[in-house]
Amino acid sequence: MTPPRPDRSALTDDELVRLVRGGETDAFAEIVRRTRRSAYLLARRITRNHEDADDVVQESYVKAFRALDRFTPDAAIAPWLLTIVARTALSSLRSVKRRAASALDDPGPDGGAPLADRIADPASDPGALARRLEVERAFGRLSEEHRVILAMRVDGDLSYASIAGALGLPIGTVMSRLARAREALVEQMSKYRKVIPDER
Amino acid sequence: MSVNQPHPPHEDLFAYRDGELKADRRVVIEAHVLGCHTCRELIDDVSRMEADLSVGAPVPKDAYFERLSEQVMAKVAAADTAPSHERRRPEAEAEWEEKRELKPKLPWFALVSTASAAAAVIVVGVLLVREGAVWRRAPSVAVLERSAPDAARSRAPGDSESARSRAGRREAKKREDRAAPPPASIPSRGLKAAVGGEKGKLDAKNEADELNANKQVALGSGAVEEKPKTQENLKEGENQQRAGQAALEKLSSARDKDSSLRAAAPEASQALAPVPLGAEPVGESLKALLQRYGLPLVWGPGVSDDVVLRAEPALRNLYRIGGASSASDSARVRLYLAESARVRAGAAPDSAAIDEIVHHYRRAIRLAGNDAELRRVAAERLQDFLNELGDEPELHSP
Repeated sequence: MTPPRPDRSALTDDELVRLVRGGETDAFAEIVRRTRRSAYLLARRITRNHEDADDVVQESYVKAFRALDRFTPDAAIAPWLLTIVARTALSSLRSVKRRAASALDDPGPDGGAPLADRIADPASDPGALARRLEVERAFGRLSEEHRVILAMRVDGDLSYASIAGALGLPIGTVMSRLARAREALVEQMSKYRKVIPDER
Repeated sequence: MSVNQPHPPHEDLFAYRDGELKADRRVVIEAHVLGCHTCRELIDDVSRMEADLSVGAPVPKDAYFERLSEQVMAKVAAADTAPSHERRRPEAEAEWEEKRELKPKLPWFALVSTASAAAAVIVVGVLLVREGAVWRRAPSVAVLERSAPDAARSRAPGDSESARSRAGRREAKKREDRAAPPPASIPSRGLKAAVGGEKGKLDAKNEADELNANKQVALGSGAVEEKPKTQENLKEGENQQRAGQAALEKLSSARDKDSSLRAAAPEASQALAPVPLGAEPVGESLKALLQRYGLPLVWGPGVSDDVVLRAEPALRNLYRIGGASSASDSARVRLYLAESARVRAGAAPDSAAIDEIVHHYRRAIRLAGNDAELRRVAAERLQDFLNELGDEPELHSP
């Protein structure tokens, strides 16, 4: 049986990285714990299905572990890690153009209800629910390029510099591509509002 | 005030909203936004949409993340044993990933096998060579039968014919491509790989060849590409052979013990039956699921299409809930998913089906790790599928 890992929740990212570099591999578990949710959400948003997101996240952590020697001390670990996740997810997307994923109808990662049911929070008003569903659909209609950059910004909360690094683009291109992606999202939503004028 | 001025570019508006503008530019944009209802509304709209996107994101339950952590740490522990020179830069890794395309991928854990694991592979290989198993596929079938006894026995005649024919063509080509090695060189080569370790490691730039080489080692053929030996190499080989002989005797002794146990207690001997080399044990959840449907641990040609289709939802669900407890388990599930997709797609799969099938096979190959048998089956099935599509050269394309 695996012995319980020591509690390292009080340590800073930097201290954790130093421990891992010093050979205490177990300290990496705390890094995983702190970042796994964002990593999954980003991977899920880019790949648009749970199975691939799961693969991408696991692969990304292994890459991050192996590249930890090159992590700049005193920098935040999450953006660095999420950059690896984004790259890995992109690589996964490029490797094969898979079936069109339907994020809304895809069963949840625990085999539970589809997304459409999950975001149907009984406490929320019907208007908000409809809007969330429509934003998700509108996002799904964006080009891959726009979806990826929006995911990196919205789900990864990555800075322009991190996005530029991950995508190998100048920051100026990131700014303009992100702007185009947001314009496209607004346009998709405005089509929806024309169909349902009372929604706003 | 700013209302009458032209609106700033959206790039600046959104960068202002994201806090990404430099101080001097921020002041200018802020002044405009404060006085411009249109720009404020645009920023508010985008903020609301992005908030809705975040809220709508499917967040798994905590249990999933706990399992994810465990799986990651298991992989990290394995990666921790990798020699540092085998580690690649993440940037190079991404480029490398993209270049691999449809070639059967060797997973990272194939590159991190320890010298002891390699030694075990080769020593067993030598054993098989001694038993005259060179170039025969018998060990492979034996492994298949261990994991899928019914499937191996009930293999459709057409399938096995076709498999034999393919195997025959491959072997003929190999024989043409290499000079026949002297008998003594077979074990010495194998032992050299075992002791040297690095000689047997895989070259990521030529995966198709690696796959074959690895397959041959796993099958105990030992007859991987032979280079002309210098006197020094031969001496080294002899030393390694002597070292390996001791290991071999230990293994033979263990095998004898195993045989007596088999005679005394069949159930116990079943437990002692050798597992595929480098394979991870099959997780209990997956094992139970496969048993429920009467499926072997690794898909085989005799497996009924109907059963695969019936098992598919359960397999998908197992994958989703993290019930595939190891990379090998995931590979087994992926292999089954590829097969079920193939059955569903029929004789003329559309492009989406092709993508799905190829994707599952490729993931199976990558996730199979050191499980040479599982990787071989997935790679052969991928090749077989591509052949059916009339796309054979793709697997070997640079």
